[in-house]
Parts: sequence; C-alpha cells; structure tokens
Amino acid sequence: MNIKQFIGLKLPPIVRTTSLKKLIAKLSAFCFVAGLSITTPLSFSANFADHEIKAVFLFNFANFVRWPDEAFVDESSPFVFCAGNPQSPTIDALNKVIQGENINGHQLILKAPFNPAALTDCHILFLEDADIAEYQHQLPGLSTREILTVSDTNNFVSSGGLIELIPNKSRIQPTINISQLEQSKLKVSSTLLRLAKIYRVPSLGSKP
Amino acid sequence: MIHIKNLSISQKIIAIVMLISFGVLLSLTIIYGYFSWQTNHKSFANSLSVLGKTIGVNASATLAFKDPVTAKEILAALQSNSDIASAQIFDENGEIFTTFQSTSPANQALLTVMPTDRMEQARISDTTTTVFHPNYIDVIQPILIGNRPAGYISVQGNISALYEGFRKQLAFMGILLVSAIIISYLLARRLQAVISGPISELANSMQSVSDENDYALRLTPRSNDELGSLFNSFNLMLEHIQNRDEAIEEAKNIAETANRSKSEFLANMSHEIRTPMNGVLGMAELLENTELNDTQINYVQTIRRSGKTLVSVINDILDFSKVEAGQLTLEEQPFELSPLIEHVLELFKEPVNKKKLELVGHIIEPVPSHLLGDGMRLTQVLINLIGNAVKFTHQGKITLKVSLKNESSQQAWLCFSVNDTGIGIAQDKLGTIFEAFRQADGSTSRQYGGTGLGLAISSQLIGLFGGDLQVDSKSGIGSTFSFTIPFGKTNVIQLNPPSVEPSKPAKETDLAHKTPSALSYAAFTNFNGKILVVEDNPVNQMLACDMLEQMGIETDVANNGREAFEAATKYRYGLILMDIQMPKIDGLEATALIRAHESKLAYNTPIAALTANAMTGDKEIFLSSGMDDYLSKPFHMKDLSALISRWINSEVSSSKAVEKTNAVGTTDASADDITTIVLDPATLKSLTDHYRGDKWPRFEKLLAMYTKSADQLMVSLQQAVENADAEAIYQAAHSLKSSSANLAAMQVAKTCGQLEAEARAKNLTFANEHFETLKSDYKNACDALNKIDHSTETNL
Repeated sequence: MNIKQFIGLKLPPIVRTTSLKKLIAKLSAFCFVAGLSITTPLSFSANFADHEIKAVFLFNFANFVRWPDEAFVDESSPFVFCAGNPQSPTIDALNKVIQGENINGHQLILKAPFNPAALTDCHILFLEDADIAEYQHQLPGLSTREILTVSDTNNFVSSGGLIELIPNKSRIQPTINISQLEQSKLKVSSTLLRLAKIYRVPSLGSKP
Repeated sequence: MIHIKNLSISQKIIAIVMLISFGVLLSLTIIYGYFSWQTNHKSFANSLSVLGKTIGVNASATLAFKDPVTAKEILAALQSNSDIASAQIFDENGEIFTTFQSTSPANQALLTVMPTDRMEQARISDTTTTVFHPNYIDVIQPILIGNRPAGYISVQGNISALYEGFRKQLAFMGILLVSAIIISYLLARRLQAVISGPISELANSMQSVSDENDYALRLTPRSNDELGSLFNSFNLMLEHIQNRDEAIEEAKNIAETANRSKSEFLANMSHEIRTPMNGVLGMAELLENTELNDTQINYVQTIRRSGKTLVSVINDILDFSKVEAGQLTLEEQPFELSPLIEHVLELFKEPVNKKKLELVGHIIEPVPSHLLGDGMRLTQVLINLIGNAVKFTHQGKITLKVSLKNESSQQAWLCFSVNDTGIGIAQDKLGTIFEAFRQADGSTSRQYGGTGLGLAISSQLIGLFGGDLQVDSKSGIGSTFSFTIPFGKTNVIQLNPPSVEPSKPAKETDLAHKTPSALSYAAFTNFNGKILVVEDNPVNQMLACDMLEQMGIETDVANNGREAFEAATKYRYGLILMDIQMPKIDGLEATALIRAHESKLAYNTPIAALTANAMTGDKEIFLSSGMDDYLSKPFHMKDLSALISRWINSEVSSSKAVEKTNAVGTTDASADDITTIVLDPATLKSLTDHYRGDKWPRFEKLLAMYTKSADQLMVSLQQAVENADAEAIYQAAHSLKSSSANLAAMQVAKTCGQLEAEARAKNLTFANEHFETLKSDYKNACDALNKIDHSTETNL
C-alpha cells in the first residue's frame, strides 16, 4: 500500500453492485493488491511510518482549516505547502500525497526548499528540527498572518507555532495553540479541535 | 343469504348507503394507512439519514486524523435516541473504524437478530442508501471531506416504535371507520324515509285502489322530485281510469238501452211483418181458389212459397235473438225418451221416403226412460240436426243414436249422435259451422237454402243444457254431430204407465189422465162475495161460470188481463180464477198489475191460476209471480170446489157435500164405439151429470158455443199453418186444446197438444199433416157430441 491508498485518494473504483459475491471478489482482489492484512481499526499506525502519517495529517490540515479569501491571489492560484528540506522523508511523502490534488479549485503545490523572501505565498509552513532554529523567532509573527505553521518538534506551540505533531502514546495527535490561532486569520474546524490537544498560552490566553 | 331483490326499498337504500360509505371509508383508510406507513418510513429513514450525516460531519475529522476513540465518543451520542439500534463508521477502505450499539432494552432484542458485519453495505454506498429490513432501517452514506469520501457511516434505526405508532394509528382509523359507519347507518335510516316513505304510501294506495276499486282516491305529492311527479302521474292515471269507467258505464248503459231497443224492435218487427204477411198469404190463398190460368196459379204459388219461407226465416232469427239475449231458459219437466225420439223420427218420415233415404233410431240400453229436463228443446235440437242431415244427404242412411255416458244418483248424462252419409264438411270449415249465419260456404246456401241458423241455435241450446255440440266430418263421406248433456232422473210416479211400446206412439196425454173417482163438491150457499173468472176462451168461460153457479157462487167474467185488472180495481172479489195464456195482457202480467194496485190497499185478493200447461216448474212460477193457488185444466167440479174451499172456507157457514151418484148410463163407454174413441167417458159423464134435467138447454148452448169458437179457431189455425206462423198456431191450438178437453173431445185436444208442442219448438215441418188429422178429429168430435146430445136428451 502506498501513501495515496492509505489516505484513500487512489482507491479502486467503489463497488456499486449489491451482489455479495461480486463484493467479496472485489474485496479479495483489493486485499491482494494491497498485500496487507487489515485487521483492526487501530492497527494502521503500526503499518505506516510516522513520516507518512505526518504527511497525510499535513494534507488533511488543508481540509480542516479555512484560509481567508485574501490568502489567495485569485481562484485559480495554487495552495502552497512550504517546507525546508526536500529530502526529508516527511516532505517526500507529502510531495507524493498532494500530487494532482486540489482544495476548492486550488491546486496543491509544494515549495521545498521555500524562498524565505516569498514566505507570504505559503499557506502551510512545515518546519522540521533543522529549520526550527532559523524561524523560531519569527513564529509568533507568522502565526498572526495567514500561514498555518506546523512542526513535529517539541515545544513548537509553546514557542508560538500553531500546530505541533507529537506522538502521544501509540498515535500521533495534533496539538493546537488556540491562543495563537485566535490571533491569526485562520479558522480551524471544530471537529479537528475536538480531537486535537489544545494548548493555551497562559499570558495570551487571558486576552480576549 | 337474503337476496337483495327481496329486501324492502328502505332496506335497499340503507344497504346501498352502508355499502358505499363502508367502501369509501375502507378504501380511504387503506390508502391513508398505506401512505401513512410509507411517509412514516420515509421520514424515519430521512431522520436517520440526517442523523447519519450530522454524525458523519462531526466524525469526518476523526477519520482524517485517524482518531477512532473520538469517533466512538461521537457515535455514543446516539444513545440518547432510543430509535437508533446501532451505528458504524467505516474508513475509506470499508474497514470498520468505530461502532455503536444501543444499550436500551428495547433495542437489545433487535441487535441479536441483526447481522454484525456491514462492510459490504458500506462499500456499495457513495451516496445515501436506505435499506428497509423487516425490523429496522439501515441508512448508509459517505462521509465527505471536501468532495472525497473519507469513510462511511451506517445507522440502523429500530422501527418497532414506528410499528407501534402505526398500530395505534390503525386502531384509531378502525374506531373512526366503525363510528362513521354507525353514523351513516343512523343517518341512512332516518333519511331513507324521504324516498321510501312516499313509495310505501304509493304502494299502499295502489293496494287499496285495487282492493276497493276506489278510483276517486287522490294522493297529495309531498315533494317536487320524481316521486312527486310519480304521485301526480298516479293521480292522473286514476283520473283517467275514473273518467274511462264513467265513459264505459255510460257506453254500457247506451248499449243496454240499444240492446233492449233491438229486442223490442225485433219483437215488434216480427209482429209487424207477420201481420201483413198473414194478409198477403191469406189473400194469395183466396186468389189461388179463384179462376186463374196456369201462369197465374204458378205466380200465386210462388208468392205463397216465398211468404212461408220468409216467415220461417223470421221465426229462426227471433229464436236466435232470444238465445243470444239469454232470454231463453230451459224448463224442467218429466218426459219419456222413447216417445220423444219416435216422434222426432216420425216427423221426417215423408221427406226421407221422398229422397229414398233410410232413417234409423237406436236407443242403446241401458238408458233411463223417464227423464227430467226440457224435452221440447231437446226435440228442437234433434229436429234441427236430423233436418240438416236429411237436407245434405242424397243417398244412404241417417242414424240417430242415444247412449248412456255417465250416471249418478241424481243425473244421467246421455250422448246423442246424428250420423249421415251426406256431402260432409271440409276440414277447414268445421270451426265456423256453429257460428250464426254461416254455412260451409256461400255455394252451399245457394244450393241448399236455409238461414244457417239451425246449427247455431242447436249449439247454443246444447250449451244451455250444459253440453257441447261436436262435429266430425269428412268431405264426401258424411258427418257425425254429437253431444252429451245431463238430465235429471225422475223419481216422480208417473200417472201414465211408464213403459210405452216403442213402436206405438203415445196414445194418451197428460190431459186424459184425470179419472174422477167421485163427483163430489161443496155448495157455498152462504158465500156473499163474487168470484172473477178470467178466461179468453168463451167455452171455458161458460163452463167455469156454470160450475160456480151450481155451487151457488156469483161470478163476473173478464175476457183478458186488462179487463181482469179493471174489474179487480172496481170490486173486491173473494177469488180470482186467472187463465195464464191470454192475448194482450196475460195472467201473470194481470196478477202483477192487481198486486201492484193492492199494495196501496189493505187487502190481498186470492188469485188462482188456471192453465193447461201442466208442467212441473209452472206452479213455482205462478206462486212466485204473486198467485196463491193453481188448478190445471181440464178440471172437474170437485177440484174447483176444493180450490174454492181453501180460499173462502171461513166465510162459508155451512157446506153441503153433494154426492153425485153415478146415475147416467147413457154415455156408457161400451155402448158407442165412436163416442168412446173420440170422447173421454169420464169427462163426458161429469158434464152430463152437471147439466142434467132443466140445465140441459145450457149444455146445448155450451155445445153451440164450443162449435162456434172451435170453428173460428180451426179457420185461424188453418191460416196459421199455411202461413207457417208458429206463434199463431200455438195460440189457436192451445185455445182449442183447452176448450176441447173441457168438452171431453180428447182426440181433438190431443192433436191440438201435438200442434201446440211443435209450434212451441218452432218446428212446423208436419204442421200440415197434423192439421189434416185435426180436421178429421174435429169432425168426429162434433159428430160424437151431436150424438150425445140426442142420446142424452132421450135418456134424461
């Protein structure tokens, strides 16, 4: 199973027939192609590497966060993922995930390494350990704009980042800096908020 | 099962209303129930779908971020909805992501029968799919992230609550249905009266109209609909019927009046035609005896023949009219069959001989010889049938047969048949020959003559007898006419010996049967009243007066009914002796007039009938006509005295019985053969006893009077015979019979009786021969009476 199949983008055609036999046949064929035995709902994280999960999460953030209209030049302008090291496994996986995809008509593209001068073009900025030192001081400022800052480094949200992807127990759970988010122009879906871990900056949290 | 046809209108209306309302309500209930069921299902499925969608939206992030724990929490919210039995979320590959199962007890039972693996359903639905199961509804729909299905949610709703609600709804509908039907029944029962009420009223009215024939009945219409117009039509119909009834009644009255006028006209016509015809025929006869050449004689004879034919035709028509009008009634009198048959056969002796035919009569034993019935009319029928047979037969034989068909203690049914070897009747004419004025065809009339009334009259007479005239005939071979009629069997002891030899004609008549044993009478010396003798015949008048005078009773004489009535209104008689057959007003009519007159007064004169018509039923007729007693002619002193004593006995102070001795030997029967043959010894003895001694000149006067009146009667009889005037023959013969019998001229009386009977039966075939016989009888009687005259004179 590749990453696309994992997120369901390139699934075999959905079986519309009601015939049980055909259904079973298709299902077996699918399982054979997948070459995997899917047993329990919770077993997926064990079957996919963390960087792959992180790539899918990044892609899904595009679905569960709403950017203001001014974040795009026009309706056909692309939705831009920005990352530092194109060789990183997560970025590589992301590159594969977003290939050919679009959100609300905006084509998904990845800029890695991105041009720091054109940072405002980015919609999602993914920062890895290597990049964090360079941008840490800019994080609170970035987060008030229309850029969703995501990182898999520790203390990212406490440093002013918006979403932190840290494994919690057996799975990766996003942590959202709600205080920073409230200052930005981004809207995070309540359904995402519901399953995310909420981080509130003590000093900022008291602000209205 | 009660058939709808037999129900009353009101029941039918109720049934129809009930059927319609039940049908409509039931179909409404079914349709409503069906749609309600459908709607409930759909809305339930919709609510499940909405619920699934909501949950799906909420759970989309959990799928995107692979968070089954949160997904389970989200699904657990369904617990609050008791209609949700279970739910599942599948990931985009159709793998179970998370599940929910209701813990409510209502859903536990359902969960055990529900299949747990829903993967296949999940994979088939990229749009909302609703699957209806018997106990639950499964709604499967995709969870979309953007336009891309990230997984699927399947919700199973328990429809037992739906069923429960539906059941309640059905029960409610059922209650509604029943109450609606009850209400419609009650309404129909009340409202059907609007239709059935008037119909019942109409039916009852029709019933009462047909029961009571009350066409004056009218109904009041109560509405302006079809029933109202039905009432109006009914009223109109009744009015029409009433009007028509009135018209019919009027027409009937007119017709009856016309019929009466017709009868009167016919009666008058007969008289008016016959009187001048008599003149014509008499004059023709006189003319014939003058000096004429052969041509003139031929003409005169033609006139006489034609006249006779005309008179006989008129008689036939009169007879027929009488039968048609129902005025002819049969008499009931004892008669003997054999002499009657012989008499009939004898009548045809001459024509049969002339045509060289054979005429045979058979009475096939056993046939009762003494019968009760109208012998005269039977004779007429037989004469008609045999006359017909003789007329249409040219050679061969005519047979009259009488046989007993059936017998009871009271009655005997006799079958009469007349068979001939004549020309016969064609088959297609058989049906019409009994109709009046019809013969087999016109040519028959031309060839054989006749009015064509004979068979019609016979047929009707037989009908009166209670029989039916049948005919069986083959053209060219012959005909058989037959009929069977009942006669009473007589138990009356006959005064004549019952057995008469068939070969010998009856020599005795009922006029000769009274043989007085004693000539005793009472003298009514103290009777101060008068007796009125009503008698048209002068001989009988004189005789009666003489007898009464001898009894010491004063008399008045009336020559006819009118004089009798006039006399009775002027004087109150002790008794009236009333002859029945008289010209102008007869005895019965005169009695009716007298009784009508007396009804205003306080008394009732006794009236006794005197008649030669000694028939069985006559006495009843006289008594019912207002007469009090009855004496048949010829009578003797004793009979007359007994009659008088019955009516004026109380006024007689002393009555003297006078015993007349059998003293006179001068008219001894053995002494004079001629006298014995022509004169009845007993009557003669009674006469001579009565006119003995100084009364003898009165007897001579009586004889002279008899001779004079008898001569006159003989003349009119001859004329009547020549004119073939049955009525005139009957009158003259009757009169002559009665006076001759009184003067012991029994042979004359007998021959007159024959003529009288034939004339009464309208059969004048042998009137001429009988008249010839009568002439000689009369001559003999006159000779004999003259002889007695002399011998008596010498002997007294």
